[in-house]
Amino acid sequence: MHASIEQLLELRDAQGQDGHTGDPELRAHVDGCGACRAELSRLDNLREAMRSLPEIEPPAGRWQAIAQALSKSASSSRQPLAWGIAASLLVVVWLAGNLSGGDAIENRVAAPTGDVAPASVAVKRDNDLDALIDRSRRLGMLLQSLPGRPEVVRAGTDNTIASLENSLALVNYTLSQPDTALASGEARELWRSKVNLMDSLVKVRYTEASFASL
Amino acid sequence: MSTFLQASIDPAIVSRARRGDLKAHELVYKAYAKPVYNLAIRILRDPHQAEEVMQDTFIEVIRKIGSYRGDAPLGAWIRRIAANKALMVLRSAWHRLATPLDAEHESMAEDRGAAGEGMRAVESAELERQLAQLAPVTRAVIWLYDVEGYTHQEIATMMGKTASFSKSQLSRGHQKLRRMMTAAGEVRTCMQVSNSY
Repeated sequence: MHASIEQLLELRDAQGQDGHTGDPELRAHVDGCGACRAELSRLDNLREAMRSLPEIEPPAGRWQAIAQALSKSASSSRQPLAWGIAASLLVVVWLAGNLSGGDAIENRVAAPTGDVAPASVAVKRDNDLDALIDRSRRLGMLLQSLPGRPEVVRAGTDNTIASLENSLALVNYTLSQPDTALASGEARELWRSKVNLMDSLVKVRYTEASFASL
Repeated sequence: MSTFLQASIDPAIVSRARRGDLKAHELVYKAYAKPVYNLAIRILRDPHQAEEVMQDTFIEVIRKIGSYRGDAPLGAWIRRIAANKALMVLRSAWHRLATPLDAEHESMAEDRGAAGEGMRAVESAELERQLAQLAPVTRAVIWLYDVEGYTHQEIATMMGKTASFSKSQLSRGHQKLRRMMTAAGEVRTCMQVSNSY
């Protein structure tokens, strides 16, 4: 019997790591099996072929459009009225999520699965790192349990969601860097930011889903 | 190796970009436009959507570059934003409904063929065609893992799935690619695939 592609992929990836050659038993089999060796080599070559595919030139002249879009958004963000409307919307979203007799969004959305413990959405100042990590995990589950985005979306809501998701990506990125030595206070602040961003994302997504179901 | 990490930019330009220098913003774009566009088009297989992802990515990068701490290469951060944008498009209902036309795939393969030379160009075009036939999510996982070098856990986080999902998509994708290559006569060995050896 030969190794499966999954096993060979694990072996291929283990080979790329310093000092690791993967499962010794599997390694011994592949070393003595011509077919498996050939397949492993094929997987290696395929990865190299994908990495060597010719690059495609992006369309010319896109920078002007990007600069224009940035300049537009910068000027609109300076308008006090726009800020006022945005602030009002945030308040409405927040109220929708929290003023239901303690029936927090987390509870309402996740109740059927029973996976998410009822808790206030707000982040307490004295939360320690473990609590923040746990909260982010639960908010992640909650986000996954929300229905998919509606087919027709409001541009403003879409932008807000995209912006929150990208801010979240930035925080996740910083947290995921193995070489980044974070002081405990700094790590706590990053996790707090992550939880707050996820919390906002849940609220906006929940509001969007509620309107979509009307 | 991901082209994002090969692209280099003077740290002084990054500092200027962080302070809001418009010329520096343009230089950041010029340094990373190609890797961003290539990541998007490899995942989405649609030039128009890839262009939109590229535009959205740089709008986000320029808006947030002030908060970039410089702990890790700028390219890795930009790549993360681009990957997230591309995956967002992949998740959207519009993308699921709008199956890209075969003609677009053909033209992409032809473009690649013209860019290369001899057999290598033919092989590249064939590989492009085979990748285009994979399910979008499977293709995205293969590209992010095998080419961009993300871990299964990182892919899982970006996709809102588990690491096991990423692993199984990678394995499934390679199995499908193997079948296509066998059909095309590119794989000569006949290997029985099983779960034990």
